Amino acid sequence: MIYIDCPHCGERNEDEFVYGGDVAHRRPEDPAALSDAQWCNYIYTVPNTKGWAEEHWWHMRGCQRWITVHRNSVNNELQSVLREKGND
Amino acid sequence: MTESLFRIASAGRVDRTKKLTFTFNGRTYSGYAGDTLASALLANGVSIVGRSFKYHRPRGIMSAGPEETNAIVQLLGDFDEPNVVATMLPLFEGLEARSVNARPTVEFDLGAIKNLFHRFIPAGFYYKTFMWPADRWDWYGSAIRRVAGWGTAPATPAGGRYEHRYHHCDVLIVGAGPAGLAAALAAGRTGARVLLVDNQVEPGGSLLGTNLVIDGTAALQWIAGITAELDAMPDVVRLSEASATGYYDQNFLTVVENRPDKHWVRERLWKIRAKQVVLATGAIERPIAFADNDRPGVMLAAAASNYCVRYGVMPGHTAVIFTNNNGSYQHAIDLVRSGVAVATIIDLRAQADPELSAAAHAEGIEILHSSHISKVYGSRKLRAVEVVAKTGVAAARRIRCDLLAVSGGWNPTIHLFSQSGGKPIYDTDIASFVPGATVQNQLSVGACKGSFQLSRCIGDGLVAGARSAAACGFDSDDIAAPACTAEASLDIIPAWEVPLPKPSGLAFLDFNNDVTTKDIRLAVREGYRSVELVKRYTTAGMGIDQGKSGNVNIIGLLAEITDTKPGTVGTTTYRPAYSPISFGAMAGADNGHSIIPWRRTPITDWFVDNGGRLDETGALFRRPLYIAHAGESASDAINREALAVRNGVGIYDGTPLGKISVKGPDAVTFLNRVYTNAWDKLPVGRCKFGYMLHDDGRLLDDGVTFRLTDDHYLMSTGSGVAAVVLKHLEKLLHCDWPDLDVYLTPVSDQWAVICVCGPLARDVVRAAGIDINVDPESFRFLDTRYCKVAGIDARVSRVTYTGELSFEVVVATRHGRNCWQALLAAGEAFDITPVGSDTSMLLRTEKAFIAAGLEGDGHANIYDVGMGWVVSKNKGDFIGKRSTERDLSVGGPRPEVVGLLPDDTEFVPPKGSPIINTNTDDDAQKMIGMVTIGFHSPNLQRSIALAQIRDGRSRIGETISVFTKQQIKTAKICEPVFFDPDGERMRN
Repeated sequence: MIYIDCPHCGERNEDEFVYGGDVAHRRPEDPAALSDAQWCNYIYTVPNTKGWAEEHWWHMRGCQRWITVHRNSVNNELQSVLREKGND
Repeated sequence: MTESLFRIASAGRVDRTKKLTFTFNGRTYSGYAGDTLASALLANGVSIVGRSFKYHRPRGIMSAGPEETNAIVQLLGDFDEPNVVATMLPLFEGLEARSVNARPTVEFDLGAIKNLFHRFIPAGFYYKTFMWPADRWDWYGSAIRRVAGWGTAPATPAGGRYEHRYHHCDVLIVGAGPAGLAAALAAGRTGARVLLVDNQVEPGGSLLGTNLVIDGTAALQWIAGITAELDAMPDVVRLSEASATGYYDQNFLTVVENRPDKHWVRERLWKIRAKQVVLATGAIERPIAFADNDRPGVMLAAAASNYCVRYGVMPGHTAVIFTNNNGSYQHAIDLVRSGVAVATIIDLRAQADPELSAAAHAEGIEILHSSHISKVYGSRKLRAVEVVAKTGVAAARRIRCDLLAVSGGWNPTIHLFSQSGGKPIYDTDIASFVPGATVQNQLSVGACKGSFQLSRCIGDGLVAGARSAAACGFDSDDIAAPACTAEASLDIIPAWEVPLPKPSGLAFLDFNNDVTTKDIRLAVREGYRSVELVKRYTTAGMGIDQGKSGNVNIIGLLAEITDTKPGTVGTTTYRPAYSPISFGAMAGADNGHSIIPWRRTPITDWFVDNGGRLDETGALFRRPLYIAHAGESASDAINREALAVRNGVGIYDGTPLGKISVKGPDAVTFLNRVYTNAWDKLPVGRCKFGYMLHDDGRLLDDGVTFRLTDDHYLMSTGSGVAAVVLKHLEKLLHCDWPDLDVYLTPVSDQWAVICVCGPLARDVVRAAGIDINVDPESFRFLDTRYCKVAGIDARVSRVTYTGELSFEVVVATRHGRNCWQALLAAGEAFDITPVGSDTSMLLRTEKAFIAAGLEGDGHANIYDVGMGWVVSKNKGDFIGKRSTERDLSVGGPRPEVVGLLPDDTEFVPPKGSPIINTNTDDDAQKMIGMVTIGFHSPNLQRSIALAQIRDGRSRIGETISVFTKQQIKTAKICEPVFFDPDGERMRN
């Protein structure tokens, strides 16, 4: 179990948080412009990065804010934990 | 009494004034406080403690620690627990235990017949043999489990209490042997917060079983001195009988403390976060593979001397030592000084340390170099061994003995280090694996790092303790290392196995799972080279002991067979837990009611007092399924309630409904994007039904959203998905649409919701003194108003879940019960009937209101469930739009929701029953759907059901068949809404 330094609450145990996907897996700006294949690829091909990745996490049992965690999935090293833009 | 034959007068750390009585395999014995079950059994001359897993060979105690492979017992009585390791179980008064793997008894085991056929059941036998026919797998599985199998799961709840505890410290030290104690002392003196955990009853580790000298006095005095100093330090916590079981990321470790404070808490799981970790976990002696090396009476050398020195028990009267290293010489001498007659040391090496040899000679011990065991006599109890010279020139010699103490070297206990992410490396000096580079804030010291000499253990421990404390900002003066007994180096030659005298002999590597040297050779012959595959094919190292003593021998032998080096073969992955953890410890206090806490509404107690049949529903709520009168059956109660709602008036507790406040200038834009319909035109004081999709076009939630003020909306969600919806919406706002000025607040628990429904509902709210005009023209369907009901501030809305005229009364939670009672009192004249959630489900089925998870499942899109009218064609993108449009453009058969009217009006189609089209011969077209819910409707006086059927709407009027386990019944497909299809009643 890792520590995540929530920018709103401070250092907390991982079990207060819920993983929410890879930041790089952004919702397309204009879904209507995509072909069926491109849209299905967005919906069903979810990144599973080995190594460093930016991830959304939700501090479910804390401030209930979404945060961005820069984590190495190989060894759980954390580089930075930032607020999401919509938090201010 | 037999005990005196094996007890050594006045030796050992047992308390001879406290005699304890215990039962093993039905016979009563006695031991002393300070004994383990294993030492007490040895003291009573019990040689067979179990039967082996596969061949049911008789087995005796092998070790004195957690690596024990044979003495695995089932605790009985109040503390019923399977697979307890007898060498780690402190004896207590009244202890009852039995062997886990013997039928009918350990002395006479019918399964032992398999021992005669072992050549026919090699590794992989079960995989190869019990494959065909496939439909017999279940039978094979249960039959094999019956003859294999370890202990039995207790039939009753575990006795005693279990709990979890969090702990934070600067320095965590695992192991209170010489290295760990030294580290704790050095770290403790700096003032750092120190936690010292050890899996033994008392600190000292290996020193407890030796006669070594520190600073001119017995090591035990040194231990007592340090322990006293540590216990006096306010920031040092010391745990005994506490096994560190797991080492996770960022120095998070789990420790299971057993029977702390004498039974009031049986086990406590510590979850520890340490800034620095010092591993001083010691080393485990390993055996050597020779023919019949599993006979009762064959024991690890250090364990044999440990039983003498620590417990005052002789494991045998005449011993032979078989070794490949210098360490066993001291053990031999300790055995002699304890009164065991040691005839011979059989040493695989050509020479030993001269001082140790001289000391052994002085005790009258004969030493045979370059020799090994070739044969063991006595199947149930060791009688003699046969020795041959390695070169084979001298004739074999037979030596009588009842104890064979074996040492194949020592394996550092690197389990926790490996779990921390570190890679072990092979050290040829000790012919075993030692920790490689450290990856977390952690140091290994002492025997677990491959340093076996006492002076180095203590010296390294002191340094590690001081360094770890300094890393946390605590400094102090260096502590001088004490002078210790000088010890020779191990000087080991690797010996994984010795030649078998005849090819049919069995030499065990993994005693726990009965894996022999032949099984490893077979695995290699069949093409398995990787140590991970050999392990899985042969099951080596997969038993209860997890190969603590045997694994390195397997790696060594595998290297030898495949002509490579043990370092190249590498180790298998070390995973938590180091030693078995009980389910009780994992659950902690979370059992019974506290594992799933009940959520209550302010009205729950009223239901409890008034015949409500409570059951678990979504989001941990316990809701009444129905409220039964005395003597009423479930179906009677549901029918009565359903008739009341359609013909009179009912009252329903809707408090579990999820509620999310949506506020801000962009709230309407936000709703437009998360719901399928358009929200721009909804006026203040009105509400509207919304359908929320995932981006894959499937139902996430549906419910009514109210517009309370210009920029304030209140969204209702299903009870079970309230948290999921909040997470979904917050993510969109925080991550995807940060430009939207919208704030969400979950307010589910802040409001009690009471629904008055039925043709007489208007009369009831009037009688309850509602202070607004509720005429149909003034207070229309889907209106919402702030007002007072029975003098209580409320918001009342015309929304419905039953299809009847309904008033949803929302008050602050603290007024919920009062409001409920006031409405009940006001409704008395109208015979108001409280209804439960089963009744509510029946009523919504009559109206074909879609339920998430039943009709709205992972297959159905919004058109399939007949909710196409909720999709706006005139607005921009919304979540789920792209997928919904794709479904439409692709077309093809869709699982559509329709109604079913069974021809037998008493037959209620069970939820989930397959629906079969019997009019076709094409098998692929036969299965066309399933029942999503079925009821007997008292209002329609017949059975009804909703179903998901392939292209169901175009099949309306057709007759299909519903399959259940017992019968096949025909039913007609119909329009889904069974009752009041135009919705006049709810709009009234």
